[in-house]
Amino acid sequence: MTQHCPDSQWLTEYVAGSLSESQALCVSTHLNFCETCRSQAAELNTVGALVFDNQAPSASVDPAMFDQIMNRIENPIHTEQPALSARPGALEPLSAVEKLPLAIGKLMPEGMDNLRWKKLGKHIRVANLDRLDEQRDISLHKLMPGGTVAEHDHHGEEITVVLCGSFSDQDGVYRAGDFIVRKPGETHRPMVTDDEECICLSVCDAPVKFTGMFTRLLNPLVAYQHKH
Amino acid sequence: MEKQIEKHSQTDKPKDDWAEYMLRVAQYKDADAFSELFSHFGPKVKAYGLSLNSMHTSPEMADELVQEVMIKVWEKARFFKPEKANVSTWIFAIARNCRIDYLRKMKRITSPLSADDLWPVFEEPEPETLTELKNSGLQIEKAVHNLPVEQVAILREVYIEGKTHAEVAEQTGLPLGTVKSRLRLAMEKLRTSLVADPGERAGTQ
Ligand SMILES: [Zn+2]
Repeated sequence: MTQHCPDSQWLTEYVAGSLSESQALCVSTHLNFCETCRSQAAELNTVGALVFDNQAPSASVDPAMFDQIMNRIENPIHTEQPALSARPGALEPLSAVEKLPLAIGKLMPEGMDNLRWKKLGKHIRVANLDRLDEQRDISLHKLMPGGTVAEHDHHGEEITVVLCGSFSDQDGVYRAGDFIVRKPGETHRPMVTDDEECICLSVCDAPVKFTGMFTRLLNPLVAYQHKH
Repeated sequence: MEKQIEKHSQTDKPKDDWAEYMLRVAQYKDADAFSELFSHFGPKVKAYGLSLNSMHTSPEMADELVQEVMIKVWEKARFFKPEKANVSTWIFAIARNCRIDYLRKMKRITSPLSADDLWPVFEEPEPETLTELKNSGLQIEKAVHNLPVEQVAILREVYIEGKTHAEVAEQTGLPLGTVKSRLRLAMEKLRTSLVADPGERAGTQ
């Protein structure tokens, strides 16, 4: 059961299509886990369709366009490159998570193990994924059992969606599916709680220097005093 | 000379009729049924395209959008499940995704994902809570007409013009909280007027 959900503004902007692609990736990932938000999104979609249906009938469409459409249907031109599909087993390390959206699999066609994982301290690995829009970086974070991230703040908005395992900070425990937004300037100190590793999807306003954020972690026992 | 397509009488059909047309397209590749869908939904998709709050909006873009959406309706007709959604809900979602993909093309964004990957339309079953809202035909439209003007205006800006809440706030000068509360009120009104009117709904079937 997910506890941390996107609020109605997030869901509305998702349904209306005004979120950026990488923000939409986070919301759609959460929806895969959360039935409550799914039904809320479906309801919002119905509202959108009502407004769509009730637009003033001002736009006229040339009836001849119908023949053009039929013509395109009968003579399809395949200009687009074949859609990239997830390699079977791309998400192998997450096979316990059935609810993972295919979209994340498509972002790692060579599989999760073949991503370029960067070691950040003893307990953390980070792999960047291809960007979906200019403004935001997308990455996966792998937190090993017992790992603690030094207290850090955020230079831009950061969205985290837990894919498997769990972690906690001063505000609570986050489990698979949870959707967490950190605003710039918020500080927190995440900790892996369980014995299993925790994998998160993370979307940050670019540019955020992950190394800047995580290299402070070198000794989790040293209380880190952050200077603003 | 352009002939206006205005089959306004068709708006009065119960929604189920559109579902029947969809099924005819899915099962028999019925071009006549498809033509009816085009006449009804084409102008709505075009208006939706023309309303987008973007520098890339143009009549050419809107016409291209109509074609893209209708081609998708034809190709994906088999994914339409009348027991899960009504036709306009489904076509609205397709139009939204096509509009997003069109914008990405204009901005030359290359990515392994398409809008359909991020806003899934063709597999996701819709949850059961929607049964209240589905197939309720005429009074759904009445419900929208009964909303206060400022609520309709904000629904339009958000869902049709594709503005974020922050953009709406900025352009109208309203505080973000007011934008959110108007949307919430509109939503509640729609929900109650749909649920509170069961007798009339039965009458439309
Ligand atoms: Zn949720």
